[in-house]
Amino acid sequence: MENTQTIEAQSSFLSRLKNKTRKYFWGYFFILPSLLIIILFKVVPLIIGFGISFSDWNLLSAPKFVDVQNYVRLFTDPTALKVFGNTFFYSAVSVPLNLVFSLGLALALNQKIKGLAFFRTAYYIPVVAASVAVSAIWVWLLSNYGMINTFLTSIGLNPINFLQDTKYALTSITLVDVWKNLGFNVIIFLAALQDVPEELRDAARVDGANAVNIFKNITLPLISPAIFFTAVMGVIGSLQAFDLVYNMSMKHEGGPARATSTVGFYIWQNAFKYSRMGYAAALSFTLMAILLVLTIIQWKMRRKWVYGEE
Amino acid sequence: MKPRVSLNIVSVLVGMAMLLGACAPAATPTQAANATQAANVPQPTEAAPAAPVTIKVVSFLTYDENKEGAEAAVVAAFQAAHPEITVDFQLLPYADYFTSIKTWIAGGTAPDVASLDLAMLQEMAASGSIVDLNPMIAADGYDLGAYYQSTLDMFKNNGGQYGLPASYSNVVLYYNKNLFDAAGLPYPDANMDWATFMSYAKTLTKDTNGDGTNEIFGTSRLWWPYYMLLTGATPFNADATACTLTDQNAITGFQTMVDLSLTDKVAPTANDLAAQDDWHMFEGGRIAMYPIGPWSISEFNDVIKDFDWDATTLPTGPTGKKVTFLFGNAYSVLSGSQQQQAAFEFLKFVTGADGDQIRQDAGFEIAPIKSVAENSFLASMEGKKPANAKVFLDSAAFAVSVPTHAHWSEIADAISSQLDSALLGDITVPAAMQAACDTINPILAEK
Amino acid sequence: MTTAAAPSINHPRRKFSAGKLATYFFLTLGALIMIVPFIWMVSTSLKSQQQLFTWPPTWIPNPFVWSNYSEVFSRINFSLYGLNTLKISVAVTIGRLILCSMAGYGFARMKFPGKDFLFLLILATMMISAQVTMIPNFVIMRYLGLVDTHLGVILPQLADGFSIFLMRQFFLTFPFELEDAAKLDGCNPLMFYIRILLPNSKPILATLAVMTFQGVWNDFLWPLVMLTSPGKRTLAVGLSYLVGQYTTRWDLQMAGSVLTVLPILILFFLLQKYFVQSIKMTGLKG
Repeated sequence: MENTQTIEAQSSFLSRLKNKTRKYFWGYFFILPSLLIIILFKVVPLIIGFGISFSDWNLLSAPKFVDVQNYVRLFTDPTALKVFGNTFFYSAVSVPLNLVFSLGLALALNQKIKGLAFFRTAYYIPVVAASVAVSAIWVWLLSNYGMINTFLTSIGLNPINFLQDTKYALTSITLVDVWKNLGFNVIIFLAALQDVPEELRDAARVDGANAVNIFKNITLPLISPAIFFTAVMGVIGSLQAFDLVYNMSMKHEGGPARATSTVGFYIWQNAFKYSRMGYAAALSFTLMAILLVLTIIQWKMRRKWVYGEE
Repeated sequence: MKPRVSLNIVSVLVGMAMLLGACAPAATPTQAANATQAANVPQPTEAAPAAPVTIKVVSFLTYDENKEGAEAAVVAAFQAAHPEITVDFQLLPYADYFTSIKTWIAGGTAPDVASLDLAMLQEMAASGSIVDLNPMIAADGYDLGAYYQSTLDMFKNNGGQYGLPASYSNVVLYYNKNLFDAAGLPYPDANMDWATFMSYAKTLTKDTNGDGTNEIFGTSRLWWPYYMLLTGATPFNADATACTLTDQNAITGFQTMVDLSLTDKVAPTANDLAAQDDWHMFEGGRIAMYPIGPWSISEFNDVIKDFDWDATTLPTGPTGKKVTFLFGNAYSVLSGSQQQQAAFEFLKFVTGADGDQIRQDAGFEIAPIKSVAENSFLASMEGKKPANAKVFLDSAAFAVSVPTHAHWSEIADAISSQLDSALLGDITVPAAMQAACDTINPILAEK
Repeated sequence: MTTAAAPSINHPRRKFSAGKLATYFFLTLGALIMIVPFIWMVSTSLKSQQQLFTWPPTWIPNPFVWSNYSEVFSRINFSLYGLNTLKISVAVTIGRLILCSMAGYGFARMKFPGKDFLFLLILATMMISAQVTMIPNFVIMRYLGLVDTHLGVILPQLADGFSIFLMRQFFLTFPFELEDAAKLDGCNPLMFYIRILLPNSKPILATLAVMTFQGVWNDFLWPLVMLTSPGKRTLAVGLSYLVGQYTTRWDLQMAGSVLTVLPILILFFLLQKYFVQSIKMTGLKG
């Protein structure tokens, strides 16, 4: 009797183990290929980069171990302070603007509109065009005789020196960033809106709900994962902004008196122009620490904000 | 307890980083570091290699992509003359060239030979990544007298010769003859002094449509280092330990530059240039006297049809000094190269009369070999403007290059960002120089 | 906006309501703002060198210099570079679609130890600057013997945090009913993924495809340092040859940029029909 009980207990334990392994097996099966690539090509370089941040390295000769000097330098470098400030401004302005406009556009485009394909393409073109060419065009458009100033002078205002004036330069580049990346989020939201079943909306309408109610109670929760995604990615992307700053400053110097230099740009300057790869790595990890904190906060809040999270 | 653990982890990580770079079959960063000490010891010069060797060459010279520019022709001529050396030649874009080179050196796939511009070469010389050619030059008995001395000097560092010049440019003064005729002024010539230059500039600056802003400018500003060279100022003292920008001659020089746009108003401001840069302004007949180099010859001859133009030397400066910029590109041998003798053979050919001839005929910059420049450059300018093409060769006599430093990029950015503010009228020149020195002195103190 | 009562199924919609008109107006205005710089790019690409950056500026080139386009083709080995770039972009797009949708599904619906940690780790890899990781990556490639190969360019890009995160978010909203029904029918997760999840996720897959393709197509720095043989180069690198040491041929640069944009727009247009799809809630089969 005891034997059969033990055997039963054992076999149920084994079968529970088998079930658990089978359940975990599928999880790991699906993530393993991606995980391998990411570990080899993103995590390993990340760790090495961390090591580099404790060195002084000009890339042309061997790195020299310098303890925490790079991090100390970061806190006493007035340029570092300025670029972090610029970057926070850049992010604080571009992320909300982008989110609001792209969501609005997606909602507008989600109706039965004629020429939908044309509109979608038009809004996506800035994303697709190469940064170098787009930047050259905007530098010209924002110049003294460019379209914008021509319009301003025609209504009697003084022309504004958008990119050379330290008061306006950063805002100008930030707005160009919004322009360029709007389409990105529009197509994400459009895809998300596809997952809002028409039947649910029709049913709600029949029950007497108006457009605002439908949006608040049906659409918004169902696309909240997408909004969460664009918000988190917006923060991560904008805090690392580099392309536009690099291409829109005339000699790649980061704006008049560094008015438009972002952390991402300052990292590139230090890594490849100033021969301070170690300092660049330290800047990068400091930025990463900030991003991690922000992302973890958003991640912890996800169950409150996002529908469908377990 | 804890700090020691983290310190150990950190040293392991740095060790990993160094290992990854160090465990390389080809050129390595640690080898390059050793080369710093070995730089002054003559490399063992092999006899002319009997077995075929291959050298890897990268270059950005003459950027005509698909036709591989003249450089491919130069390399082909070298191969014909030296069948025992095979050249693996790669023409790269100038954009991000230095980034690529640094990545390859750090990553262990450095080439044997690279073309370098002035700033790149000085940085690599200071860090020991390229070889001092003097020992090989002496052993070979190579005659450097064929080159213009100034083109050799700019690629020297601490007495060592770190590259052989392949091409060079200097800056002269183009002038729009029609504008001078309309103002009734004589054309500028090589004897022009600063006072005359300024008086011409003021007369020629005009507000043609009465809207309160100038459409035509007497001249335009050169890059800021010119105004430092003009008064004999330097960014730092002889042993690079202190910033000397707050000295009177530096302030005079930069004040002259700022005055051109802000006080005398004879040169376009940053605002004006944002609408149309000075290059296109001159093409459009909006600048009377335009300082520029020979890379403009081809486009200006194609594009400018509405007015007649010629060139002369830059004027003597306000303190009586006459200078012009010297730019140039050289070929250097990288310290990690295992084929330095073959690489040197390559350098001799491509920067010598044979290579220069091919390059000069393609018309990019000017050959630093006197004979080639005097014959071919002038011959290639037949029928082209400026008619006074000889001015490019004459200017070589007083051409100077900017003093450099291992951290020159950072120093230059510090200076130019302060000058940007001064040019906008936000701060005075002395204040700008003080702020620049505040940033530069810590950088100088690092070495 | 619209105050009209929501139309029932039998009532024909009024075509030109004020709200609709306002929507069209703002959409068109926005679209114009989006494409005007692009129009300027095209205009510049057709100008002669005299007309570049003239002042006052001219919108319409006179004459139209179509030869700028043929000159770009001859100056840069456009067809070869285009083919190389196409090969790399397609390989990465397909690879990423498969790998990252799988991982996205795993993180969205599966339970396993370390899930949260691994996901945050993957997110963390997006927060480190590419300048800093480029050289370690290059060294890794050297050890793998993949320098100067297309595979070396493709491999590190096959999975990234962005795509995994995106797919996860979208799979979170996938109806549970479909999954439960599949389980009842004895479907294992892989079959569910292939037969039900993917076919019903076409909009987000098409979106990810376009975004991936566009990112890889325009990528510059990594192909620049990885591909040194002339025959292997990509378009973005080829275009950068037009930026010289002292001057830039903007007319050719713009022409090249316009040409580079076209394939992505074509792909975008071709995929349009996949962007619209409603999930079939009724009529489920196993």
